[in-house]
Amino acid sequence: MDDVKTRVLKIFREIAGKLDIEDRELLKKEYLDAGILDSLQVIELITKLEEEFGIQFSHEDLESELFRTCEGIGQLIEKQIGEKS
Amino acid sequence: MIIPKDIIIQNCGTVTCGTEEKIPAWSLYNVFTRDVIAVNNDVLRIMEMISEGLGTEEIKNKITDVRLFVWDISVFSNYYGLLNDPTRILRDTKNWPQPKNPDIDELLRILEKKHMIILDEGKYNGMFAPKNSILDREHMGNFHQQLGQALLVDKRENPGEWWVKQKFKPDYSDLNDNLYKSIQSSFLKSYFKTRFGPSHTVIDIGCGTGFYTKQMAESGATVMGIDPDKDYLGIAEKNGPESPKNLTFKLSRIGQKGDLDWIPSGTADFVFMSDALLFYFVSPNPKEQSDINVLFSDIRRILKPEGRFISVEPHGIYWLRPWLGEIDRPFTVMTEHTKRWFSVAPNFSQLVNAFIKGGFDIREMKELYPDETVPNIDARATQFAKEFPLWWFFELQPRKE
Repeated sequence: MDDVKTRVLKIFREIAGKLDIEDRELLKKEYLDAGILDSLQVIELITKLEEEFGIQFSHEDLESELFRTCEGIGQLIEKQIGEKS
Repeated sequence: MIIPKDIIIQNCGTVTCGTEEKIPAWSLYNVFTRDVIAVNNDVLRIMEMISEGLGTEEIKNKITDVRLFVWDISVFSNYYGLLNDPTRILRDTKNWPQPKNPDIDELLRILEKKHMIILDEGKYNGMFAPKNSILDREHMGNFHQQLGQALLVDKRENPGEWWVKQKFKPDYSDLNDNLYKSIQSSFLKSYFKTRFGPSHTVIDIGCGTGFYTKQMAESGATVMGIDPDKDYLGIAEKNGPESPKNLTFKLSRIGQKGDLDWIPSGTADFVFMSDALLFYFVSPNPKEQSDINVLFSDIRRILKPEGRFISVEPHGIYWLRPWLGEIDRPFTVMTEHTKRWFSVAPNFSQLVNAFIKGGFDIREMKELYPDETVPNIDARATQFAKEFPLWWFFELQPRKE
């Protein structure tokens, strides 16, 4: 697993608390539909990821299908980092 | 492509654009989604063609020489205050953004995005439902959800801090110049003065920053404010006039069984709650739904037999209804009463039945209107609230078995 996704998962797990689910499955899990995070935790996730990667998610990012899974979030972040470098 | 019958068109007069050119403008307002745009006559002509069933290519062939103007005049007004104009229209043409001059394809995209035309009726009907998450933009969601999304996602603001800011002046000494002041505060100030006296014990449940609690204490009554939020209580204790001896604040959870067991039975002449019961009907956090009967049973227990429970709540019919029409001749549009997906305050029968089931007799009920002597209140707000009350008040007594 690449570095970005590992870091996304780490932050996700810190916020979600104890989760009985393996990394590979969690990456693809639609966490909003599954109700894993409540509203405030979703906001915490956004803020922490933005801090961690020094980026800012746009409204389009937050509304996109990609933002519904950790794997997709990783892709959105990689895209932003790629554009910066 | 259809035009929903949910749209009302209003005259905005003429708008001066760049080179002093005056353009007649019309607002298109979708009463369900509360989207609004202003457009010029040529846009209305195109909408007429859509309503006649013409498709994009036919419209393009028919219209060759057009100048289209679209102003985005939507504003999430409740961000600036819970009691602000819920219509969400940027009314003053002086504050309008620069217009867009789209071509026909772009215009149709704007009209679709703002729900002035519908491509998929099933999808459109499905929008009027709760949001599945705070990031969900496909469903309109109820008012709590819309506000939460605006605050947390769009503005990244802490809702607790925001609430204080929209209600109070920065030093907490007074309410902001809005309907809180001219309706709620004005009524309560004179009510506390006439109803409470030094022999009374009053408990303010959900006292927040203690603004009204302090007003109650001015009557000489022994007053205790209770709130689960320690930040709010910090403000209550630190700000305003130094707390007199007859006033105390206490941190306590409210609403779950046992939360208020520490208050002795049959000791209060009055229990007061304002703008709080609505959260028992539609919770901002569905995972933390509290049972109103637990609260009511606590209040009944705390009150003396002749004691009164005073409840001041947002009006369940008119609060959050759009403020339409001329300032002096307001009207509103009701889009729901029974099947509610947007409203968060209980309607009349829900609230009254909750009181009855909760063991209370209604001793008095009032709808509250603005005190027009309070200065600096928006004229449209006052005129609307004079016709359509925005709070209701109940005095309740524990029913004698």
